[in-house]
Amino acid sequence: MKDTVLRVLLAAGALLVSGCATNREALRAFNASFEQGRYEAADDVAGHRINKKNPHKALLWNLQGGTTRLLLGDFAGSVTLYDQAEAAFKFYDLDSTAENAVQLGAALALNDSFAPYQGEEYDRIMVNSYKGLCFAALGDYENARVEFNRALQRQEEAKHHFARQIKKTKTELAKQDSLANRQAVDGTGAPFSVTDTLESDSFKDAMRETYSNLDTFQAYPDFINPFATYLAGLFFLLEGDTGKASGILKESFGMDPDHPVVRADFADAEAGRAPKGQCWVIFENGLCVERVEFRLDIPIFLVTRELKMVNVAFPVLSTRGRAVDSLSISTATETARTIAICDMDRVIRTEFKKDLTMIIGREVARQAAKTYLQYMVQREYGDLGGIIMAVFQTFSTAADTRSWTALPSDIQVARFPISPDRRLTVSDGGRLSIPVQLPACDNAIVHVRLPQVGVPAAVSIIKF
Amino acid sequence: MRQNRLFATCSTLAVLLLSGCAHVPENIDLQNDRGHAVMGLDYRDFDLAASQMVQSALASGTLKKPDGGRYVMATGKVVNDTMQRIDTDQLMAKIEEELMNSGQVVMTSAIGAGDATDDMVYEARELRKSDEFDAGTLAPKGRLVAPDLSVSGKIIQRDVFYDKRTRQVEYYFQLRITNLRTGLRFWQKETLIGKRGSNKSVSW
Repeated sequence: MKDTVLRVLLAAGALLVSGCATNREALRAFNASFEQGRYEAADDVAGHRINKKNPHKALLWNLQGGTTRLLLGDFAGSVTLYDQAEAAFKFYDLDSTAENAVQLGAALALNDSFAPYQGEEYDRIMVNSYKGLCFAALGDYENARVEFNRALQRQEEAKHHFARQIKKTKTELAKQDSLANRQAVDGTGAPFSVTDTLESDSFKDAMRETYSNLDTFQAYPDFINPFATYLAGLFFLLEGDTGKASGILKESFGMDPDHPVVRADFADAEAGRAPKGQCWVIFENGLCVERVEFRLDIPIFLVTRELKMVNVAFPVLSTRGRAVDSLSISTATETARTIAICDMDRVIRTEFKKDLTMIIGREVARQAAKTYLQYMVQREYGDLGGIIMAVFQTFSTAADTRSWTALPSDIQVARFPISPDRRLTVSDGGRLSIPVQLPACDNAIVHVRLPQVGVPAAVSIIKF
Repeated sequence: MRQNRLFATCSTLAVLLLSGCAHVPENIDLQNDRGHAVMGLDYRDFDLAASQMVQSALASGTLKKPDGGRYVMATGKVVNDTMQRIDTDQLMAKIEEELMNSGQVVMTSAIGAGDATDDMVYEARELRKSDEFDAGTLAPKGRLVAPDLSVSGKIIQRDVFYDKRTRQVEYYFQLRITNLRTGLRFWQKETLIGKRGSNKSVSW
């Protein structure tokens, strides 16, 4: 009997390690290709992980794949993948089936990466913004309008989501405490206090050191993604819907009144003047912050007697940074330079900081339970049991490092008149020099994506 | 005997179970559809909006031509300013049909936005270059009729967080008829369709 229990524990441990490793390996492979500007290879990695029948099971890969399709110029393919991502968001918004509950249960017992990736609020906003761009590139301005409306609505949803989330976090932590205490009384569980642990000075010190970079940045107000707002405003301006554009660009102008492009666009919208013969370069620069695992020993308060040091794994944000400071654009008649409109790292940090209390609370509760279990198993099955439990605890401890890594570090924009020869050159002042020939159109957006300096840039032209 | 009865009961249960699970398609009773509403827009919303707007246009009397003839109307642009991927031609088809049935309006396929035009109008005229067609059967020059009026509009969506659990979605169907000779607006109407439902997810 004892042998069977130990074998089951070992098998669970092995499964655990292999499952996590496959996911992490795929993400590593995707990042390695994407960072080098090998979009086709990155797309291959994403394509192999996408689950066409049940998109919600591979949401992260729909996001990554949607981006690589966009950068490869397959706008319809990108829309398909992003549509599936939206279907997955809906699934997780509405679903409370057993399948989901089992996975969430596993996440609660093992680690967060066992829960399905359900997407961040900024993921949802960016999906609709990118879909808007794709539809516009396909010349389907009606559906582009729908997507930009959705992106704006997603911003509103995010505000409400976070207001709810703050309340929910407090309730959840209290719930975990009361459950732990109940289990302590009837002797079936780990007697510990999540709230006491989180509130203790020693724990706070450890956290302050780990997340010091989160205290130094300034969060965006109301979880706004300035790119989504600006891009929607620009689209409505280019569609000639200056009334609507004015209302939206007013928000962008309010956030960044010194940005010359926002100021010019807003002035056009306010005057009811649809631009003509103008070009915008939208530059997605570098690679966004990514989640990496950070392990440390923290003190956990066991309510009964002791203070125990346990090893925990938290996700921390690691900066990958911008590719270049900015791009310069030259035409036969003008020169211009891209200026940041949205610090995507800041958008991600704002949301991460908000989620962190819950992530930490879950991990502390989980580790306390595992420590208690280890103690019980050792008491029941002797040293061998204790050792196996210790191995199990070590391997099952992992931070959830999944995130949409194809997003940029920041997004910049430039505006200038189209020259008579309709040519322009985009350069970074170094080796990068991309000649662009604009087709016949009233206005144009040139979308440039550069993950790192010295790697191939992806360029697409959107006519208006 | 007992085994047989057990087998029969199990079989019946299995059949009942399977038939209950199978999703058999059924026709919708369009006159009395008791299917639950959706937060997006479905055919019932289009039907309601179209018929309310046409009734308003006809009741206003502005489509009655003083000399008793019929106005020639072109379909203008209907902007979908919602968060739903809908085909505005679907709404317009219903409106055009009811306007034409009123006997006060004739729609033109020679000019218009979106799918309102019929390419054949111009392709048939291209045949003039061909010797293969009997010249007497070709469309004569200068016979296309310019429209008197244009119908255009917009569908707007607003999502309101009604309370903690409820989302309110408002759809504004705006339609207007413009006299193309004078640029004056003959008629306009806004029809509101509102819905309340779960706040768990977005309305699309």
